[in-house]
Amino acid sequence: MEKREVKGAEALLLSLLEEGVDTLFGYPGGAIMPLYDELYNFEGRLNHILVRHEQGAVHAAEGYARATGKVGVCFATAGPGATNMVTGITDAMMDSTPLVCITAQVTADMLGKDFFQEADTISITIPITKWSYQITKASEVMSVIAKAFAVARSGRPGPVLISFTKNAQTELTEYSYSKQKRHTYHKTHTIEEAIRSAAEMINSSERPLIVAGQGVIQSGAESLLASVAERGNLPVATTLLGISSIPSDHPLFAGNVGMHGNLAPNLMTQECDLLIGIGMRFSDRVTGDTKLYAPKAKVIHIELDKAEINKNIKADLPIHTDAKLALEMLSERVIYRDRVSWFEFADRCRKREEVEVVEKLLSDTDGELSMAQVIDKVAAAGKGEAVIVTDVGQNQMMAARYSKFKHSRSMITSGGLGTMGFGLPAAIGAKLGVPHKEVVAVTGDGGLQMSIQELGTIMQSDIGVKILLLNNSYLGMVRQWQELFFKHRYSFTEMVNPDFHKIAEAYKIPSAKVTHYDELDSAISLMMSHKGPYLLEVVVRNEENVFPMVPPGASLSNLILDEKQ
Amino acid sequence: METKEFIVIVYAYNQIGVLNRITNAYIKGNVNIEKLNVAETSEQGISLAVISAVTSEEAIRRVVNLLNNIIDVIEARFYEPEDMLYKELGIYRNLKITV
Repeated sequence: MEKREVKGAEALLLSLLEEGVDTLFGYPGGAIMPLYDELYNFEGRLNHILVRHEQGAVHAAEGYARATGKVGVCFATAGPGATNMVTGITDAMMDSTPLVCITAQVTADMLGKDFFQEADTISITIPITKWSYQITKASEVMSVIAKAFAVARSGRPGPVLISFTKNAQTELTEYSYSKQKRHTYHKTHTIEEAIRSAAEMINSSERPLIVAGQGVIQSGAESLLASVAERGNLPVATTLLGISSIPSDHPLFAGNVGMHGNLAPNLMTQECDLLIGIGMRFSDRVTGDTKLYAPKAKVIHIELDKAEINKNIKADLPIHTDAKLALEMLSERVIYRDRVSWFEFADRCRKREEVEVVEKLLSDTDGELSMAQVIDKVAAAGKGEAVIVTDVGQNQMMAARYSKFKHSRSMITSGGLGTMGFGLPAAIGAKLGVPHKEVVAVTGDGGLQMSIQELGTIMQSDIGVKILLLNNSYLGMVRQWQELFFKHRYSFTEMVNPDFHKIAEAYKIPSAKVTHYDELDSAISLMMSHKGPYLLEVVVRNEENVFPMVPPGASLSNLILDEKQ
Repeated sequence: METKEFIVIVYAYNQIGVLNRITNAYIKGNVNIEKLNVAETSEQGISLAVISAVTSEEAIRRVVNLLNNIIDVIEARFYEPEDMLYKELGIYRNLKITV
């Protein structure tokens, strides 16, 4: 292999190119200046997006990774640059998002001396990274970056942090790169046995339910999921992060499970005799009270992270492998059964939700707007082709409930950590990852203002993100909980907001504001047809609640459909 | 929940920060470490940690699962002290003892 001497900084950028990186998100500062100086020479090869806050860089890298399936990359300087990344890295850890986060560090011989902008980034990020490493010599760059990418994308993906000392950026090293490969999943005797048992359980089940999580998307098993479901006539529900792993209009799609999921899959969970969790982790938002979860069901749990098996829900049949391999093997063994009464039950639940929740919200065209009406219209305009990136709270739950998806990787949301401020920067990353697709950031007035500075990123790099602001002048989800569980005591959840139109104007982003139902269609169509970034503010009801809702800590059987319950 | 002493044996690559990651698994699991011994094994670059904690079996399983997810951990297993009598010889044979 040809070897040549380069600076550590150049070696790192060349290594990124070897790993197929074309876009990265970052913010320069003192200790990272040698790397940015080298980056100046990489124009045309690496598209660096200058964000307005390092948290935005991580969320953008997450959005990019989630939309493309590639590893997201972000840069920040030492000290505050690195600590500003902490929330984003934690978010990526919780949602298994593959990232390589590169933060600068003071010169190696100054480590531990409280040098200017020194923070012990490695220690700070140990609990929130899959792996981390501090590069103190330029010669380490190539092997560490190769390992970083292999770790980030293999097994259960996750964030990796590389702390890059200033001296290692400037020292010379001989450059030669070889990629690392980790973990592939093979048919083993144990897996084959388990799959045989799983198929027998599925084939003899009268009331089965598949609950598909993000593992299906990450292993690229979406079409296998649909084909197994079709072969066996098995209803499929998705978790929040599993949304879009099966098209919304698929006849076997039963809806989303969880706290604000659909009535049918939640009640089906409680009635099923077999629950097949695939690439998911039975989070508390999915299960409600774990002691009362799926009381009539045997549980098959297909999951590649062993630590997730039997963690929250005891599996009768754990299958420790990735979703794709398991579904591939299952597809040969699953046989068709009618299950008429089971599908009738699902249909009754779906119709009940339609009448008692959905139609009530969508048909009220006189009063103040419901968030559901807005998302429903955006879904119709997007025709299932758009990528929806949400913030956190009511806007997120409404987007999850009322959006429609035709393709995988088109719902990007902060599930595990529930990070307000995620939506806008993640949408920026998603748009750069899939520029040919329409990307809509669904956000609230609270979440938008947590990362509103990223409008500057949109302006500078002309990123064609559509921002749908659902403005209810409240921190809506917290207010909903205060109304339902804290006796209407609205403690510090009311927001006095700025004029978002003027803010958008200051950032040269065209915008519109809608308050009435009859303006909604044309405003949405204007937004969707606009080339380039656009902000549509929709003023919605102040005190709307998201239903159905499984009250915190309650059983899925006790989910409520309105305030009166 | 019944608590008792569990001994966890961890083989890990001898890297800066790996011990921090190992103890962090105990912090995440809210399990207090009673005893901790670390030494290099006869294989260069591989260390062995012997960690004792009083907790429930469920909690120690969770900690061991977290330990096995650490990239630089080769293997982690838990034992009850009475099992250890049979394991000790094997473990110490692996250690590089310098007198």
